[in-house]
Amino acid sequence: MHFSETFSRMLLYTAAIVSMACVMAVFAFLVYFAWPVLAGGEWKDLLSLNWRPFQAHYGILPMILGSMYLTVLAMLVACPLAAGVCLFCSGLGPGPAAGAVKALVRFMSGIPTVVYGFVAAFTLVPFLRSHFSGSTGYCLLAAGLILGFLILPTIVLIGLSALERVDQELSLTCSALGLSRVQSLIHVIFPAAWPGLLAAVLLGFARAVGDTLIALMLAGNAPQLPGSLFDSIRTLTAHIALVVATDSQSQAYRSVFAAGCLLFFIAAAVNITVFRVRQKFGGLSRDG
Amino acid sequence: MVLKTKKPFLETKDLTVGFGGQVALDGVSLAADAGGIVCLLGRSGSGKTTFLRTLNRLNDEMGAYTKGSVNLFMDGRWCDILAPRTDLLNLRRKVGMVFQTPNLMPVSIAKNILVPLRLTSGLGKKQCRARMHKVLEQTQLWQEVGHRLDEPGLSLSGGQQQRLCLARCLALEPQILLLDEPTASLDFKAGRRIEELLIHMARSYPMLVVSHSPAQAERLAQAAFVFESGKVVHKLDKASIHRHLLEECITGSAK
Ligand SMILES: Nc1ncnc2c1ncn2[C@@H]1O[C@H](COP(=O)(O)OP(=O)(O)O)[C@@H](O)[C@H]1O
Ligand SMILES: [Mg+2]
Repeated sequence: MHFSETFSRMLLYTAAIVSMACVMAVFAFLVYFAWPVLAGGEWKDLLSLNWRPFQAHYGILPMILGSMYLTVLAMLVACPLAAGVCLFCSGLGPGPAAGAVKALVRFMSGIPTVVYGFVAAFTLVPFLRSHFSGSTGYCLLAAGLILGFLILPTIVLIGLSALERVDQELSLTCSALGLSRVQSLIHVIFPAAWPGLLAAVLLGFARAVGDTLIALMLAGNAPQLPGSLFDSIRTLTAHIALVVATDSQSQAYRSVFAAGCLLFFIAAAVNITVFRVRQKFGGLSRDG
Repeated sequence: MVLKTKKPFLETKDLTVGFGGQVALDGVSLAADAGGIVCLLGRSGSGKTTFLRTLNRLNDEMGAYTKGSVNLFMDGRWCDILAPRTDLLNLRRKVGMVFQTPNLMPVSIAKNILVPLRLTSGLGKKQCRARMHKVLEQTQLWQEVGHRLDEPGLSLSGGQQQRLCLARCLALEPQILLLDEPTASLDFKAGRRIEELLIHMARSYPMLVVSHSPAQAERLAQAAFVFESGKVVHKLDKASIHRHLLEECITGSAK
């Protein structure tokens, strides 16, 4: 018994150390390769709107903005939907329907991203192309809508688990005070679950920023500033994928490591925020 | 308002409550009078909490089935609360319940009272604030927390939390009060303080108090019912509570 405890503890420590080391290694790797670009004074050029690798312009600003626009749009699609689905599943909807919706969301979370991508490429994209003149259909809007659906299950499932935990504690209290189910949910349960809901939104955000395939397949990938929802954009992630797939030695190749660093920082910031929120408010219950 | 003593407010006949296959209350028939605290005694698992939860139909939320009849005297008439057309929200506003462990919401002291009050009463902001002041005075909390109403309710001590729960319940102006072991999670001093408060309030509200100890019942009650395995086995009045306490001590059958 003693041995097994020591053993499992060692296993856990090893796992923790290995994963820490991996993260550090990735970061070191990114910095190492991005360094020539960053240190060579080329970082100013990096933050320009100009991406013309053959003329030695490696501006990734359009991709940074593209990532931002796309993420914001996806969040605008996903958050209201997620709020609605969460409300429906945690008591507004009739029991069986709520169960069915929850099962559907769980199923959605298991669908490979590429399936979303190609279904949209054959349905949404032609639809946009034929209804909005001047657009190829491969645009910010198409990618934003689908990306919104892609991150929806993440937000809903994490949000629901936060709500369920609060619900267990407070629903009977609310009932005893004569609040209706809707009143309890909107005025008590949702506000009380905010740290968990914020974590859900942040993790959805992280997933949207980091997703590559949807942008690659649906956003058109033109390294430009979009003038409207129907213009093509390129995200940081798609940019990395495209450059790495076609090039290997040039400065352009180096610039993708800068893009990688940036994504790494965004992911780190989101995760640290989630951790902080959970740490500060997660245990907010009886004796908080 | 001071209640006339010995005015009945509760009557159950053949009340049976079950959770799935498990029978929690088995044919309970009793009647209770207002004008003093009525205690429910019995060891844990005997059905006291279930009985309280019948009176605001909270068992319905827990998937229980209920048979028999339960009548409460409210709004100047007897109401059959198990009738299918009973408005549960309305019933629960009139029959206030305080749980065994303080169950505040993770919001400020003020909001713990104001949120349910505003939602259930439809009163304006000013009236709600006035009502809050009143119930905090009633529960002797105003002096202690009146200057820090915006602090989290959960930052209060156990006894204060329990009194805030009581205040929250009183704010809805209930006509009947149910208290489930209100001192169980408190230390001796805080417990005594709640007891005094309850004795004082029993003059204005018909009140059922579940108690974990016959000694407490002796301090509080004008009448008591002893539960055992879902049945009422004794009905005690002020005098016989004391005798019952002695008997239990002698025979050692007290829990
Ligand atoms: N939510 C529930 N689900 C299933 N069984 C329950 C539930 N609540 C109470 N019971 C059962 O009902 C019986 C009476 O419980 P309870 O009323 O809580 O007793 P007491 O308050 O006297 O300790 C117990 O046997 C208990 O297991
Ligand atoms: Mg109990």
